[in-house]
Amino acid sequence: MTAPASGAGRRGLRLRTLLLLILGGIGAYVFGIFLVLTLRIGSEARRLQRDAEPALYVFDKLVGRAQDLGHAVADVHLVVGRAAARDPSSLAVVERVRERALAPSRTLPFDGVPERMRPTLARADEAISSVQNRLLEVLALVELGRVAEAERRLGQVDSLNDILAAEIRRAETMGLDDLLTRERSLRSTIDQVTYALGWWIVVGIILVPLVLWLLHQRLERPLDQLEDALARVAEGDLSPRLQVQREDELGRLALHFNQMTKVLRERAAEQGRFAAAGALLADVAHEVNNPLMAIGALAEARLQDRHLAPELREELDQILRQSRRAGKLLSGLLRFVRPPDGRQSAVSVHDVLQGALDLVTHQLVALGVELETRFAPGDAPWVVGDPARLEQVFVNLFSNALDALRTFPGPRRLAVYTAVRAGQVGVSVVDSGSGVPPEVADQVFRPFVSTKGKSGTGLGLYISRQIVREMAGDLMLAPQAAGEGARFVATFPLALPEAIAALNSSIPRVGASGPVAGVRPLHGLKVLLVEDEEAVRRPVSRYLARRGAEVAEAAHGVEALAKLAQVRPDVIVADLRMPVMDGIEFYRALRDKDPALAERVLFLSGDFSQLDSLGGMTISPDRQLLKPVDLELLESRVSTVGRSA
Amino acid sequence: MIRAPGATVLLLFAAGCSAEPECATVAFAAGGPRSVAVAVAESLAAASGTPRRACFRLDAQPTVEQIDQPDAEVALAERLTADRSVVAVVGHLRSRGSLAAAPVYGRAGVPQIVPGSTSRLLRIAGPWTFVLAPNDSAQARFLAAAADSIRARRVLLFYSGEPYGESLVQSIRPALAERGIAIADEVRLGMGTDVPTLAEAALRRRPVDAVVLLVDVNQAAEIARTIVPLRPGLPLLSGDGAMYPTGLRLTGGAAAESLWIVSLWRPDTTDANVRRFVDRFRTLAGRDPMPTEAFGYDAMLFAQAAIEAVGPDRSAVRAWLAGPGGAVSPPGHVTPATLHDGPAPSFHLERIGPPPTPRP
Repeated sequence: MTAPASGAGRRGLRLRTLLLLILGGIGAYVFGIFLVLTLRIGSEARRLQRDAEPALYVFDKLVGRAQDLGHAVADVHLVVGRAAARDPSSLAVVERVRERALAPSRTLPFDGVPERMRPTLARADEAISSVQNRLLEVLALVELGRVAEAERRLGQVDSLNDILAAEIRRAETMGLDDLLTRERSLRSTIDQVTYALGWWIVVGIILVPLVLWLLHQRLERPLDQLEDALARVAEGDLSPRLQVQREDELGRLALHFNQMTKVLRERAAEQGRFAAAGALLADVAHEVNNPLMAIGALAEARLQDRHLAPELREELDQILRQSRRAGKLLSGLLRFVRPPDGRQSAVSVHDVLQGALDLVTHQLVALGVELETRFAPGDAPWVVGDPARLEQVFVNLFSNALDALRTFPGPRRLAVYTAVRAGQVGVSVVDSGSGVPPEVADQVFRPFVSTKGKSGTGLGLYISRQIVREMAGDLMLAPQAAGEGARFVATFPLALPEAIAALNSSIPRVGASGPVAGVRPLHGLKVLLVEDEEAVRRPVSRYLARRGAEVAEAAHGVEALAKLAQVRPDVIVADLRMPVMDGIEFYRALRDKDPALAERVLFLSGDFSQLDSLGGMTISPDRQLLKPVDLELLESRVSTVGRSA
Repeated sequence: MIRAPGATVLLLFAAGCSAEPECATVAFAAGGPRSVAVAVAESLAAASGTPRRACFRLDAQPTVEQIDQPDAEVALAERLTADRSVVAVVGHLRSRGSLAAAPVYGRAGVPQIVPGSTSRLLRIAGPWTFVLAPNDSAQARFLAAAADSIRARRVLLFYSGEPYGESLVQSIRPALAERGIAIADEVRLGMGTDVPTLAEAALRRRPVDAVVLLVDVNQAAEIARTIVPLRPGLPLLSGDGAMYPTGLRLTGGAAAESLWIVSLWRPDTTDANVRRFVDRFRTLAGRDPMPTEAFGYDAMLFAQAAIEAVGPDRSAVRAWLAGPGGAVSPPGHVTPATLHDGPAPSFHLERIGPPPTPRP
């Protein structure tokens, strides 16, 4: 199946032309048979009928007249006999015979009679006329009383009648000969046609395999190859290449297939690199998240001290904000590179937009792009969808805008607007660049169409629109307005309040107010904190203890399991990446040993993709805490899970 | 140029044309006696002094024995059509021969102009056959009117068993019935029939006021010779088929002089062309031209005019004759007839009187 890639194939007939030629050939072949049968045998039969019918008609009439005349001769003999016997009734008989038997007959139509038969039939006709005339003369002589003369003439009539019979027989013989000649002619024609049809069939027998071979070569084989190649592509194998044999329709199809698989292979390689980069980023995020969380936790813990000097408090507060900002940026990156889980939830469009903007903030600064955001007033619009995928759409639009502005002299502006109208929320992303060229404006949403040359995949807008349409919305390029570059508008149906409530019911809300010093909301709860990084474990432990919890610590899963022999906690907070025994193994062991307690494990990590290794078991999102975690959020989750025990 | 060895006449004669091979030939096959051909040819020669593109071949006359013999007439037609120089044929003499030859001319694509035959069948013989003489329907109406004018109420009808008689009798039956004249008896006369016996028997069979003859010259003469002695004064009306005074007198004797015969043409002595034609004819033949000879002359003029107009091409000549050219009498014509159905011809009855006094 696979063959060396080749460019243009041999020039040849277009497939449609070839099929039309084959069909035409088949039609001509069949029509040829019909034509031969019709023209040769049909015309011969018609000629036979055309020539034979008039001759048969005339012959039939002549025979009829000759028979009538034979009766008339007998009658005239009777008349002459009576006249000779001086029978007075003879004259009455004369009248009857003349009126009935010897009335003038119509001229026979000799026109259609074959010429070679005309003289014979004409002689028979003349013989009939002669007999008829002589009979009339005999009757006239009887009328005139010249009976002896009549008897003598009657003898002549008998001789003429014999001649007439001979002429009729001759005509009959000639007619039979003529029919036999025609029959032989027809048989000869049939033989010739049979011979010709035999050759015709031989030609057909030769041509049928030729046509089948041609169809196999030009149609069946390329289609089989294409089907095999498509099946392999469907199975994920992008290596098949079709050989372009001819510049026909299937040749062009093979060429397009090869181009498509080539692009797909390039995209797959790109995706692979992208996935590797994502994995690397997750590792880095994890390594950075722990110190960030340690920094934040320490700062947050220190801020609990009411006796801090104001200057020191302000510095610690600054440290806490910056660590949280760095953590937020990291979590955004992780969320972006993580494969979407397809989970539907109620999504705040403004939140997702803000998250996407956070991801490109550094580019805005680097390119000197002025950002303008104007969000719809009132309650933030919510839509139903996968927030990660929605964020991917917005990041793609922002990236395209920034790419367009990168080579634009300025002023460089990026505007993001939202508006709510008629049950829809619209998001406009407008740049101040040169806009989309009109000649490609209607193609930007097609796959593999890019205005960025080799640096673009040509899939960004295509995938973005697919995502938006899956959310029952649409993404379009608005006509370019004066003073604007490109304006992309995404519209989504607003989520109904019931849907928002249903989809977000499992997510606990965090109180807007910060922790109140001196209040111990976790009082009475026993917490086992399993974390290998002491720099994280200690400040978190101190924070939870300060909030009233009784905290036990373990550096990894084995130690945690050992601790459980001494203490039965209400909540277990476990990191996922740990030495000796990581969080997943610890969870599995705990679930085997104490399933009820296993349901009260909160997971702490910079990357939750490891949870996929649980093999079908799902961990509720409200039991997943992304590092660097906000300690208030951690307190809330601990409280929720612990109090439910 | 006349070469006359024996019975056939080779006459290739036309003013300014003589026997040049490029000359288109019109074959005259409607004649009989040699003098007729000579007269017609001479008349043509005298008609104009201008050079002509048409030659007239007069050697194609059937002999007396051949006239009206279908086989002979067909053989003659085949011989003429085989000659590629023959562009048109004038002929044949009578209806039977003309009808027999018509298919031959049709197959060969040679225009045939029938001059003096009147059978209706000739009008439907094919696109290559043209008829100059009026058809027999008009003649039948004229004969019926003539019978009516002599107050005949019951007539005895004789007709020949030839296309001429068969066709004319079909027309005369309704014509007589239209005028309230009954046909007391019809006698068909075949070839070789004992005409006197049939005529006498028919005459004795029923009483009649007049006799109508649709027969040829010999039959008419024999009927006259039979009937006149039996019923002197009984009107004998004949169609144009018997219009040959010499033959009638020869066969019928004095009895033939009592026949009244339809004539299709009477010379218009006020017309210079007719006078010249009649004078030339008398000079050559020693008698006045008969209607069939006048029609033969005009038929040749039609053929000549067609060749002059369109050249020596058979199809073109046919097209010319079928078109407006055939609807107008050609220059020098002696009869009012055209090849298309025109105004009714001026029939008249002629009585065969005593023979003309020989010229000194």
